[in-house]
Amino acid sequence: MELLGNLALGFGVAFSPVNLLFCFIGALLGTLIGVLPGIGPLGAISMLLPITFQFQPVTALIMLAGIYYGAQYGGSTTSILLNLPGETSSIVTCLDGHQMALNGRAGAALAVAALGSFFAGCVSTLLIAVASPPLARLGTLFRAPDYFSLMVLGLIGAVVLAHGSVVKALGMILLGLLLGLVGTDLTTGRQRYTFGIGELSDGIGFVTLAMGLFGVADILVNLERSAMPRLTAIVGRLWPTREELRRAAPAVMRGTVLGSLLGVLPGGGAILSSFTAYALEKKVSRHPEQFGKGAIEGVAGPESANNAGAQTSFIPMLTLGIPSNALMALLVGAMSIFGVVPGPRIVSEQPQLFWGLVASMWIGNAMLLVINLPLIGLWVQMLRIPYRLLHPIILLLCCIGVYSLNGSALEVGLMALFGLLGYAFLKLGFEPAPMLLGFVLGPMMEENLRRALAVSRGDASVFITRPISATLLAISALLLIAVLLPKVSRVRQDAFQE
Amino acid sequence: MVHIFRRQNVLGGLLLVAFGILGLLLGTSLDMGTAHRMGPGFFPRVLSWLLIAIGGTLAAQGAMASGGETVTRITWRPLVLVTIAVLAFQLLIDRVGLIAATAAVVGVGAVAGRDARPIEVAALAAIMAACTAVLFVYVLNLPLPLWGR
Repeated sequence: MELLGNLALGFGVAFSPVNLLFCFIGALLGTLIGVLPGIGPLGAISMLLPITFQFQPVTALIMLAGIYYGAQYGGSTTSILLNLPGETSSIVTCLDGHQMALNGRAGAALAVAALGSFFAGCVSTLLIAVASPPLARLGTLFRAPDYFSLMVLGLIGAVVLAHGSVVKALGMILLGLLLGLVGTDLTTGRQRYTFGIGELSDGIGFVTLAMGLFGVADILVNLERSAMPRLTAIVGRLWPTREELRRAAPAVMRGTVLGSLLGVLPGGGAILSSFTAYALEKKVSRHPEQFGKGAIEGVAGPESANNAGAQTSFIPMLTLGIPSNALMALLVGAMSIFGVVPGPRIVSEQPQLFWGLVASMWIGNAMLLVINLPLIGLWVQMLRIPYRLLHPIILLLCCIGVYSLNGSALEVGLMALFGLLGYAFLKLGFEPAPMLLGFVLGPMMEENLRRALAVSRGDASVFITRPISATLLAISALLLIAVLLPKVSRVRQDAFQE
Repeated sequence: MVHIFRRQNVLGGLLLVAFGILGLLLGTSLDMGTAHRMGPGFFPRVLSWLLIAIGGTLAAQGAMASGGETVTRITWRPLVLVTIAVLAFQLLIDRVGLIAATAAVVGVGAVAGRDARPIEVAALAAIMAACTAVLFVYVLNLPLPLWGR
């Protein structure tokens, strides 16, 4: 019954006119950037961050969260109609979604994607509400060594579960950790890697880094590509047939469960969930040969899973203060600018913030259903905007976003530098997202390592004598060994190649 | 047999090694401290060595593999023009103000694409300059210098 009281409190906060408005704006913007290829939630949230500083923390978080899960709805539209993923988490939706569109079933694909996302959104919101308070209580038992080990697990998880090369992901994380140390050392006050530049003594701005890597670098890569593919028209009814619904419903269930579980894992989230859900659907189907030719399960499963994963990835961030993916790292950075320290105390000490955010997710999902289905024509129009008009505007917003944060022109130049760095890494086949995760965790890891060793008087065995820490490290070691075994790595490769 | 210095993994590994070496060289003055009382140089040095090890592994793997992805051709036009556009914003924002900086970044940024049309670019730059002034300064009240400081 405590849950009902908490939810009532949450809905009280979320239903205030201001929060309702910004929940709507977040969902709308999320759909927009989800639909538009070439700009993702990472870029959009870092761009909007400076504007949210005038809001209450809860209002800002409600809007930023709305952008993230809203993007999961919008991304499917582009995948289905354009055969081009609006978001990375909608890549697999291209396979069968676009085939459905070519078969004249675009309406059904869009409707199933939106309905599946809505169902997944509702279930995972409930999961956050139920699972977070006990996890947060567990979190209060964590001491410095446990936190250090938890972060190790988070980073290893991000490497193992990310698609692409394990060695490359490790390299990105290490570089991110190192970049995170630039600035004044908190304990000793020493300047590190600042080159005597005043702006750097507070460290590299994490918005500067994020915009460079995900705003500017993406533009550079997109401008190299050739023209956009052609838009497939929506013909026929915007509603699935009875037979299609019957096939899609179990896939939605499976996708929701799978996505909810994978979202909580360190390194999990929307992208991993959608890839795994597609592989699962293909495996359990009695007609695997239909996949890639317009099987509705191939749309329903992944689209439900990415929304569920996007939402449950909030759980470790809100209860333990540890971001599980790059986007959560961005939100941790945002919260610390607001003076909110993410961690186990949020649930008990700032119930309005926590439950308000949870309640807003449910409201936001309901809004998204309306935004996406009846208004689909509007989003199709957005897809007609040529990229040559879009990229200068994105570039401008990046510049203004970075500048308005501290009023520092130098940081704008720094963003250009990170843009070039991000471009170089993309050209070399690296995925820059783990770098941002390492960047946010760098100072936290050092601080907890230092504290753990100071308390234990320099004895490193504290990491294996404390049960929580030992368990976490054991899991990390197992994950790392597992991924290096040739058989497992082959299965992992197959899963991401689907 | 493709030249090994055009392979992604070789170049990428070497880039990581370079960052590791840079981390060590620039951090020579930082104190290591003891395990009990970790100095400011402890964590950076550990990370730099790990970076060198990982980068070295990647480069060696890439060099020994029989093939592997190579770096695709670099298109210089967007690379140069987008960077100039951002640097123009950096130079103009404090000296001349938001309107000029906006026009510059949008104008130069638009030319970076290969299918830019002159009249369209000029119109876009003018419209965006007006829009940012109204939206960011008057509506959202962000602390941006409209005419420089």
